[in-house]
Amino acid sequence: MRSMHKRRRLLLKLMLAAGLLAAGAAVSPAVPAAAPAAALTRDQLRTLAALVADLFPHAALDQSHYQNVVAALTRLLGDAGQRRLIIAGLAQLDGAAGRRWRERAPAQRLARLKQLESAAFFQLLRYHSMQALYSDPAVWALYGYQGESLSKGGYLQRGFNDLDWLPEPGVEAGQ
Amino acid sequence: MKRFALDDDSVVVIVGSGAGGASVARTLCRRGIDVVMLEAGPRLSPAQFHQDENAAFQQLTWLDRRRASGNWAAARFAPQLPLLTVKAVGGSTLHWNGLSYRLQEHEFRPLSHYGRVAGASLIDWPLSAAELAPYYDRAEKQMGVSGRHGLPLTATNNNYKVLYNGARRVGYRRISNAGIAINAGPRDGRPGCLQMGFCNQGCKISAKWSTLVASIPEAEATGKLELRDQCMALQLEHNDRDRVTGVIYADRHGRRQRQRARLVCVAGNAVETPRLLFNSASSRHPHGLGNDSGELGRNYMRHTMALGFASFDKPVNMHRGITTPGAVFDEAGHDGGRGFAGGYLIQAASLGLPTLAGLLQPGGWGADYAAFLARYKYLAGALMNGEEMPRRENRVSLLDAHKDQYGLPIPNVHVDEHPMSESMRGHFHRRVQAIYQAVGASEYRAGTTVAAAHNMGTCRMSARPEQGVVDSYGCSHRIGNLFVSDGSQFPSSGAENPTLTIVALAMRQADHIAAKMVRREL
Repeated sequence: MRSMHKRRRLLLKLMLAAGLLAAGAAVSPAVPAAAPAAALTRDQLRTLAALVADLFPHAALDQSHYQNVVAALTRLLGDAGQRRLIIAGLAQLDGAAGRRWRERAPAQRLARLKQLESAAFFQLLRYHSMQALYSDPAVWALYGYQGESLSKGGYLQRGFNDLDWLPEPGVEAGQ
Repeated sequence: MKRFALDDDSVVVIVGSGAGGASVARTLCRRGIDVVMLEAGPRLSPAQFHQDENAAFQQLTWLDRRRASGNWAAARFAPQLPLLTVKAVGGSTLHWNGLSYRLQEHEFRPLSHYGRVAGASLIDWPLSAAELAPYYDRAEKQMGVSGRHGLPLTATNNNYKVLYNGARRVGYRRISNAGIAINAGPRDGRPGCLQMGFCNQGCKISAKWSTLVASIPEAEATGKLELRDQCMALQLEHNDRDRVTGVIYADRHGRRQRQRARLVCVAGNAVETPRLLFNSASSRHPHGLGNDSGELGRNYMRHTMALGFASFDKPVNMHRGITTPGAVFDEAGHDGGRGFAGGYLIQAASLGLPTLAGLLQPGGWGADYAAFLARYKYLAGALMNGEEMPRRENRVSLLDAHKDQYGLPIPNVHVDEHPMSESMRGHFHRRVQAIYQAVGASEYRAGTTVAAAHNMGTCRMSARPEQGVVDSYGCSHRIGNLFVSDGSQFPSSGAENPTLTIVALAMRQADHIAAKMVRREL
């Protein structure tokens, strides 16, 4: 009974996470304050870092950006159900035989990810990686999203209509 | 602040403080009628809004449990959050972008104009464009809609400039930045727009019209309105003469209260409105209050939506300024040759990077995906807002096995899209890709909206009682002092954003109620 209840709670969490994503909502996941990174072995952490870099590869990002994402993912481990899911998932990446997943050639790594992309652990890690990476102001700065604007007076005097490679719009009849 | 006693049965009780509820309240209060308004969410100050997509989502969104089923994207990607609506005073006018377009004349008679559509439950509206026109005028003046009634246009931004020029080059001619309920300059005690780029997150300076910053304070100024926030309506009570007598609600402390009422207007958005009527079932109304037709909860509609993004060699910075700064109307009419009934608007629309990452391709990952997001500064974006066919089986129903925090069954929202929705999306993507390529786009990608922000049709108005739930004034076909005041009334969605029409219908309803009260018929 108890494990069924736990499993349902976990499923609810996953569904909610997927739902928030779909709503377009980037949501900081509700995670416990404690961040037991030590709950993962060094080996598992390296696999996690490799996974994040394969999910959202950006040449312009350095280790620090991806480390922020890994840190966000390790905070998920505070929940026992998520922890089990993630640890089992990382093992599943390697599969039964052959070289470890993260040591394989890029094309092989991607093929394996493609096989697993509908797995619950994959969706959990993909969702939270995406949230953490694209909600990071350091990443915004690289790609030109400027975030909060009121403190600088909005864009009224800061380029809301500074596009100079097309003519100014005329006034049309519209509706 | 005005206070009314719980046993005062002379008051009008309005459930919901969004576009519909607050517009009814404002009109009634200005006619001298006492109103108690119940709002499930808290009353926030605009200063509390967040210019952060994540934090704003958490602050504003209705997150109570819901379920989705059917073939729509929400059932797959957001099964517990199929709707994007707001739980706060002001309702979804906090979240809306201000686009205030009238329904077109033929959209009031879709069955007559399109003909019978297989697999759709179309009916004509029981009122005409001409009948609603004076209320559209009043609504536009009250809301301060740009480019109407002598009001100035809001400034055009970079994202609009790209859409406008591309649309011109492919031959479109009806392109406009008029019709937005955002102040160009100071007006009505609210400032002009600073082009902040966070219309969708609640405008922190109140340049954008919302009921929180306009209708509700205007109604309160009459001394006739008591707004009770954090009060969730649970059930309507009625007597054996089929009159509503009061509303049971949970107050901010979770205590049950009963507010007596002379009449009740329900405006909880198209899921909570039918849910409240279902939860008010009785031995006299076993299938839900005023549901003699069996149409309650049915004919649920969204707009058919899609997103398109294009990457350019030179910067666009789409996030700067008004979120949806204007639209192309050339595809808004009906043309059977396109393979779908009704039309659609192409609206310039921007998303911040966190939201774009989620909607570019739900479930997406990989090098290609990441590379497109990395082009953020160089992206322009457009949103399709198109007519969706009503279907009887697309419906809000209750899941008796799943209870919310009040012990009431949670709603399920079922949508099996009509095949025309996908045809319309295909048409939109071909046209928008052509628009952007005409001004030099190097790459085009289709994005997906998942959760529904525009919700309509679950208590539709009908000339014949057996085809709907309410009449053209939003009055229940069965219960003379029960009104539906939100988008639930719509028999069809049209191609235009719903808020202006909700406000116009609410003003017309309030005039009708006030006139009946004067005649002592209510």
